Amino acid sequence: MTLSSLDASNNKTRILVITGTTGFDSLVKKIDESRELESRYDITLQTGEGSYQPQYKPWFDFDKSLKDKLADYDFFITHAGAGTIFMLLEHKKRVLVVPNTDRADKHQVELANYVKSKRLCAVCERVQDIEGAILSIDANTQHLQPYAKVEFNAVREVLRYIYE
Amino acid sequence: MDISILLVYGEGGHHDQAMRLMKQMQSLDPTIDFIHVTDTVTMKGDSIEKIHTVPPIRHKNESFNPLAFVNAYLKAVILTVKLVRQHQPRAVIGFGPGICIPVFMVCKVMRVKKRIFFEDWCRFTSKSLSGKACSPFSTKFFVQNESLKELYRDAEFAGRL
Repeated sequence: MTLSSLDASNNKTRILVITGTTGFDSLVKKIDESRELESRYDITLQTGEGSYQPQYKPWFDFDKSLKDKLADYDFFITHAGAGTIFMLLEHKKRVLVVPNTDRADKHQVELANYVKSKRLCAVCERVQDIEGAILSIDANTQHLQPYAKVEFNAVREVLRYIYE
Repeated sequence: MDISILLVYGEGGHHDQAMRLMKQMQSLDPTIDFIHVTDTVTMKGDSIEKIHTVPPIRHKNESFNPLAFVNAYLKAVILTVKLVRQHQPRAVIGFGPGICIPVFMVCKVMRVKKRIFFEDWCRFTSKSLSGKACSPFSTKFFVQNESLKELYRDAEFAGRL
């Protein structure tokens, strides 16, 4: 069964929006205020330390056990935080990345470019385009490549180095 | 006596990298005593006993404030001096952000011989502030993305945590 047929049978596609600890007010606000999205998706928002409080959609600020709840969602929208993206990719999830340019440091664009060039995640570069990106999220995330991680293989070397 | 290692990290990805490495090290040697130094309280209560918090060097959503910077820097220096005296760590392992800079400097001055730094795994084409500043104080430097080896001449790439 595809996600679109789930849609048709009135089981709405479940989307989790992850902002990390920093928060991502402009993204959260934009998605929260979009009433069109509600008819098609069940969206849950994370707010992190952001100051905007969602009015229309369920939300939480932090959840340390997020990793155990990934199965509750069909899609993930996330800021370009490495911890979140790598965790989702390791769990083989379909991800739409929005680099957080609200932040003083702009390094999130770097990771967004990387996952885009490797076709690991779909990327929405500007928050103002997010509604359209979500409405076509199924198509956007259809041709993504599996994440082949090179596992860190120097733990023994690090220990030996410290003991010596 | 069990060996102590000072583990320094911030929130988010830095924290995740630190926890991943710590778990891998613990699975090979459960007797290592990790002493945590972090600039965030969000992750506190991960059932970690020896955790010390310092103020962040730079707030992510605020512009640079020199007063806050000096205050954070001095607090980190004082804490590191205290921790190094108390635990005599065999090594310090840092993951960023800026909080690592004073810690690594103090560790060098106080002769903590092994100083290992992991560059942020979200960096592919540019250096982080803490990576730039800590690399002269490190004795071993890992990058998490192969493309960064071009920017850090003495760095090692050994896969991603």
